[in-house]
Amino acid sequence: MPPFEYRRPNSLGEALALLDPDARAIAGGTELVNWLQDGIEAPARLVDIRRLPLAGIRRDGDLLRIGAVARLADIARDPTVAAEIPGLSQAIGASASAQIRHMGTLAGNLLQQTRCPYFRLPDAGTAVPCHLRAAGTGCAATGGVSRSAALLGNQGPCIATHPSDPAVVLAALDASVTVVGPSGSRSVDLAVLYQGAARSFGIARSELIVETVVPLGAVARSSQFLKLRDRSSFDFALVSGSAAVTEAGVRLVLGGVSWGPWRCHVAERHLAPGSLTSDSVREAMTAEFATAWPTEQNRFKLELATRLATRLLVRSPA
Amino acid sequence: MDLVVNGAAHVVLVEPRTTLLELLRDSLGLTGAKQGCGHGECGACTVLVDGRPTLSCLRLAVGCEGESVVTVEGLGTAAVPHPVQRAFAEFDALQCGFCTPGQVISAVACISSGEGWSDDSVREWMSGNLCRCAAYPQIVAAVRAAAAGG
Repeated sequence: MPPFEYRRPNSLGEALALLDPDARAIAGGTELVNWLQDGIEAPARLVDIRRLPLAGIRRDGDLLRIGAVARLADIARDPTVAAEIPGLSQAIGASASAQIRHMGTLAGNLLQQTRCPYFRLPDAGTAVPCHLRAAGTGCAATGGVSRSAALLGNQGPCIATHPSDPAVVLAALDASVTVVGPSGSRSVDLAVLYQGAARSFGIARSELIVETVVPLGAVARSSQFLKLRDRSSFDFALVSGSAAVTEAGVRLVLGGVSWGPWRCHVAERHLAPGSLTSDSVREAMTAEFATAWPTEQNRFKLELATRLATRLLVRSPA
Repeated sequence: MDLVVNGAAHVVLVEPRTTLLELLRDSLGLTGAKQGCGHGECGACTVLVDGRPTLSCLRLAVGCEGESVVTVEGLGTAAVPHPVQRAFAEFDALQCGFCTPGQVISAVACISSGEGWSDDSVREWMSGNLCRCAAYPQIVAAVRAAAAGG
């Protein structure tokens, strides 16, 4: 690990004053410490925000405000989350391991690095092309091992997927993050966050996410999450999905298929809440995937995603 | 900086890039927690920090100032083992033993979180602790027994 200065500020203001382009915020550390050990990140200063008073989970009228450093494990078992946003509890339960859920924070989970198996190789970005490690070097996964790669959305210079499970649910619920920085506070919709640059998601080094804001109500209460992976625990999704069905309509978001959560806008238009059948879901997903660009290695994800959507949307009457 | 390890207060000087695992093993001589993968994937380094199961290979020691750490050495002794340690011995829940300190700490956290109630809940909760000897069925049985006896 390269040397760095370590600071543990006592307030958000102090933290922001310490954050500059050579600094990185650290909370759970489950990802950043790995990157430090691998030489993927080498900041001059770490600003430890884990113990700042940003861990609250608070109902605010029709919103739930989840502090940036609230631990994943605490969020999953929060009574309001469990009752009002069941999909989020399910997604966290399916994330990582118990240790990481106890160490990791929601903001850190959302800002996990987009990655594929090439990203962590010692020579990624040099001998091995990797756009995320060194822009312009190309992409080893494009034409290489692409089993985990994206297959929906604009095919960019990197085809890695984003590994967050909670993001898939939050994107279905129109959640947002509140970002503070030197020039004040702004709100970024989850749907927009992952359209930013894949290393930073459009969050400047001088900024911090301070909370995630989730609209409560019938949609959130109906949220469900499912995840399919190579082993039944402690693994990234091959395909994941979150659905919310209310009288107002169907919401469906997939994970593991693009560089951020993939809202199935086309399928949603095909689906009526009152007539969800295996056939109608398959038809809607076929329409959704009309513009997909699968490789031979990851084409199976389209069928997996169709079956996952069916399991989420078609339920036997209660 | 100061921290409490297994109930004893320590004042230590740490370089910022020292991990909690390195502090425990190299400075405090507590070699129960092991370095397996060093990347948070195997769980051999699991300790409790303020009661939470924590991968000590991914936690900077300097960040633990003022916190309370429990390692396997703090659970019980050979003469008076912790109920989870007794269950691991009784159910033969180990072979080489390298992963066992992390398994035992995770099992303690699993039971105190109320997740020791079924084989599936134990398997899910303990999935961050790998056992290359594949003593998994015995580990699950030991955790279930310790939870039931708890």
